Amino acid sequence: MNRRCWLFIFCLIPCISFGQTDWQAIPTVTIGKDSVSKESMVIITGTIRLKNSMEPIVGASISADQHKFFNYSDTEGRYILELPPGNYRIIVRHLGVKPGYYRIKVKSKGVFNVELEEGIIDLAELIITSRPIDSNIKQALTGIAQLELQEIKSLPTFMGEVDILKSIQTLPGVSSVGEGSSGFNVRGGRVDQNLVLLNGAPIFNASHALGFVSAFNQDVLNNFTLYKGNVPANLGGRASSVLEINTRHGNFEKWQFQAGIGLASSRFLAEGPIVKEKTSLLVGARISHSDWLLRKVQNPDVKNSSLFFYDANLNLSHRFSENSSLRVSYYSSRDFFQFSQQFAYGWDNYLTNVEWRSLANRKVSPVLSVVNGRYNSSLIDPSGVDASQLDNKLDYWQVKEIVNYIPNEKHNVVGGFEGTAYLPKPETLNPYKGNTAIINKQVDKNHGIEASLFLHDDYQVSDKISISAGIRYSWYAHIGTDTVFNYQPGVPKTVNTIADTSYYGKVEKAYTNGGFEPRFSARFSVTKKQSIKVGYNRMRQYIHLISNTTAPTPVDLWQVSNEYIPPQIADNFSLGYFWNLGDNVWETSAEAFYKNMQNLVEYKNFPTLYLNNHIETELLVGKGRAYGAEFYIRKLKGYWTGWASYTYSQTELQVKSAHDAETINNGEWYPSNYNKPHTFNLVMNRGSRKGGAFSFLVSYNTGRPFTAVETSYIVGGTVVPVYSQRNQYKIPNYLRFDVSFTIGNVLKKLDDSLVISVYNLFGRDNAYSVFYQRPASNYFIPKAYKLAVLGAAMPSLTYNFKF
Amino acid sequence: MIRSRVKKLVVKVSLQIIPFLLLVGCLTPITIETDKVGGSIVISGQVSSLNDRNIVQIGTASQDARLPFPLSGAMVQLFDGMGNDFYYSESLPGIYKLENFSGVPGVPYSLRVTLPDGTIYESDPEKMPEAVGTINTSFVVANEAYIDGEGTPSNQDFISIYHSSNLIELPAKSYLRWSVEETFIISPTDYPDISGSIPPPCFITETIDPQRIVLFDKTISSGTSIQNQFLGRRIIDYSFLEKHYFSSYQTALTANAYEYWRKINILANQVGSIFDTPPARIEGNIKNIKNYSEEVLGYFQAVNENVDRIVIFPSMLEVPLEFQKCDFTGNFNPLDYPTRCYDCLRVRNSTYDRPVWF
Repeated sequence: MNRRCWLFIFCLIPCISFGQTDWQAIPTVTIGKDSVSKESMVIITGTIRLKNSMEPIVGASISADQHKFFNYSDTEGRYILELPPGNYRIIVRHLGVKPGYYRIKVKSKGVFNVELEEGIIDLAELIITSRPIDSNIKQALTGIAQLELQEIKSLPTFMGEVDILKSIQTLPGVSSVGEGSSGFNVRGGRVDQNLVLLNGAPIFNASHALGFVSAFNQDVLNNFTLYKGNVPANLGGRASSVLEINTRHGNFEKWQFQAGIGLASSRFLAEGPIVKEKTSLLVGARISHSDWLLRKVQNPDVKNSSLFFYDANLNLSHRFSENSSLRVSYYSSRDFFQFSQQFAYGWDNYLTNVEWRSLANRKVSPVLSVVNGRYNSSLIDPSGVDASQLDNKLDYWQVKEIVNYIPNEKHNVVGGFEGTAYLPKPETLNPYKGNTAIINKQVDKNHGIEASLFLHDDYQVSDKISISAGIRYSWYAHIGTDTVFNYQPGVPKTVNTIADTSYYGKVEKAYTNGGFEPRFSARFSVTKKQSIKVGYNRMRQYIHLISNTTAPTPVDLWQVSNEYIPPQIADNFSLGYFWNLGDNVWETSAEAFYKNMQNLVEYKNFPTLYLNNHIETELLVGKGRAYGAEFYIRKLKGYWTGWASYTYSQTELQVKSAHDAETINNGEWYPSNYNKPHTFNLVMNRGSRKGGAFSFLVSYNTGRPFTAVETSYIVGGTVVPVYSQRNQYKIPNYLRFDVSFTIGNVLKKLDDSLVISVYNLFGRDNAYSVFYQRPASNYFIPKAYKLAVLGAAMPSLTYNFKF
Repeated sequence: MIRSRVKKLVVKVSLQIIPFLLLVGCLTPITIETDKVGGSIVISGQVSSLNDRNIVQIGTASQDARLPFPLSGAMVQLFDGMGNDFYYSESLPGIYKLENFSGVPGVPYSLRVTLPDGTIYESDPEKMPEAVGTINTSFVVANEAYIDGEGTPSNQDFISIYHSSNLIELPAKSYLRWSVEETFIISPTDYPDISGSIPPPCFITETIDPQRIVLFDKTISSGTSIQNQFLGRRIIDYSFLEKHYFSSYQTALTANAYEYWRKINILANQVGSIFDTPPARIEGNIKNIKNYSEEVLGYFQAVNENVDRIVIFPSMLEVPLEFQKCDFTGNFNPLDYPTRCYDCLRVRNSTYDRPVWF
């Protein structure tokens, strides 16, 4: 980009001014009564809410005396502060709302509720985090990754879609196979090892458009947290990480509407009270309208293709009292992708979550939730005499009871239980729309139930030391009705080595497994701005994504553990050094991790995975290891904010057996599909108080492994390539530069913004993959080609408005 | 086996998803430096129910991008399940044929190859399928879009070959493959000479669209016939100046051979999508009898085949054939004629041996 262009961009960035808080103008609020007993410390509690909607603010920070005493609000907006009686200046912050400044005089224990106003933040006060600015130093847990929604919304986007999943991939230790791949990998873990929770309910496919867009509507989201290192004991079921995404409650005070119109999709949100201050409703929806873009393409197959998706959220919240509330949230999404008359993919998510929260007393708050979900996928051949549709459906139920107990400011205890039932429907192949030559086929799938008990405590031992430790016990059973094949011992499992079968009646246990999952993390503060953290986690996973492709497809199968597919077990070790600089304006960290993984599902060559009632004959069980280091620096305050991250990591697998047929790469360690040793990301953002922003992103990583052709031969005129051992070579390295420019207040009567974004500004033809094709002429051996799917600059335009 | 239907669909998905992704993408050649791993023995071939289709190719894999080097001087024996053995003879370097032999459906066959250094390789026995069904061939001539090896698009005249097959007599567990070969003749320029000798014509046989692997698994389909299935297309060039045959083969395979071809089909259809089935080496059915760990590439199959031929004469094509003929024009300078006209054996796969049906 030439100098003139840069000048143009900077000229568009609005001017910035600074402000100062006048403390003397703020009246003092007295809390408590004069006490006869001279307590050294008293407890202040309260709730932090939005002023208009009365919606609780999760994760808002409240600090007294310049962070000498601080805490942050829980999922119901509640906080607790322990401090000596006296006069304090209180600051309450959360991104996207105006900070609250208060003066209080504390005499004894009491309640102090806070209401904050939504609004644009003066840049002078802008700190791009809602959590306490030194929480990265003080938290005991290692490997927590958090970004603010405001930050994500200012990042450059692909096709104008603000995307949580793409955004977290700019953080250290998080990556994906490549552009357009669904899912993400955390510290060498597989895609299926990430538990994605939407309002606490697991979701099985978090992507639209084959992975180019995430399945979450930005307007509905409230906050999210990625646990990539230590995971609290109340969360589990997957071996690598947990991504918790929470959506907003509806506005309890007044009706509000907002919308966004983009080139490829648009969205709408309405929220407001059904009964003022008691019951609120939030309805959000997003729908694609990208087919008009496809119609512009000359290729007739592309012109006749269709790409459609929608997602919808409905949140109904009711407050029975100050201490009791109920939320019913419903989420559904649908994707349909058809390429001409050649094939189509369809996939749906349905999720219903009923959650009851209460505050039994100031110290105990139980939360009970019941979840019902379904993930459907279809692979369709729409034409010809053999037109067919392959369907898979996974139903699941989950019940969870969590009790939060805060005996004092030093302890935060969480205990409870969780039960999940995985009830997949039979896999079916049927003729597509009428009579075709296809024979109906059905294969029953395994059912499983999982139950867990957990107890976790965040313990503030002293100013210097804190511990986050817990224990989870999980138990699993593969249950009937089912018929299990038994194989001859000592030989590879094939159809020909099936010895007999065992039948299990309804709910009869065919296989059980279970074990303890200790979680431990400790923080030692070297100084007020430096700390060292260590962590160890064991995670067990009883459901597996059966996916023999480089990246998961929407029609991959979810398979519960059984006699031949034991649970995945991961032991995660981490060690980190955290250092804040310049009055907490800069956050830095260096973390090392090692992950040992048992019972990873691998695949024989050319496996048959669909409609296979003895799928274990196509699978292998191996082990894995991942290790690496992450370096992170983040600027929280100033004209420019942003972060840079560098990750070095290696992920390797080993599948070893006494039989060659069940061994990969001679039993040696080999790199995983997504092993990318070096990853670097730089994100910078410059905001303005008028809602404008300029941001850019630089992303670099080394190429992922692939299997290359080493020689060839001919059979009957057909050239047969001879491939190397699995994943022995690497595709070229990847580099991308994106920019985004947001113009605030486009129309003065509306609270609106216009987002202009260019993905891959320099049009670099990054390798999506390397593969082999044989030239048109006979007898020529296959040649290697680099495929770039987003090899051009991709501009997008989105107009957002509220009323 | 119904799963194969789904696999076919998965391959189809992989094949088509890339054009969609290529909306904004591009495909560029790239050089991948690989380890030098050549030297493996390659043995591939078949015994057929058709007496001119018994062929075995033997070679050694090259260490670079080239095709295998032919390996001459091997002794190639075919054993049937009744204690008889038959010998293939080397017709061209590395190519061994068993003439005038028709395999018998229902009989198991295996191959033994003894190299000049005494190393012995044997294939697993394959029982020739009992039934194959019938096949009819048809063709269509059309002007179609074409992208040459340099990526240049144009429109060319093509002849496309289709087949229709009757499968009603096939047993439930039947596996088929269809392929099409062309055979054409080149009559060299007959320069006038004192002796009045006429140079012999060459016969060229090639597989059409060899990477198009058309397979069928009877266990997944209720259909009893296939109508007008596309097998391949051939650009119309000088080879159509004279009689030109297309031979469509309907080949009944064993279940193992079907698996082998299914895997080749997957590899032939890799399109670079991250939804592709990861490629891997394909294991054959031939082993070194003294060293089972030695890698032997290739497959020996026992196939029951049926063939249907159509002959195309220039007058049937209804398109202009504006190619230089080999007729003597009065000019004795060979360089004024295409190479094929003064030395037709230079054309790949050409031979003076006239097929009996030509």
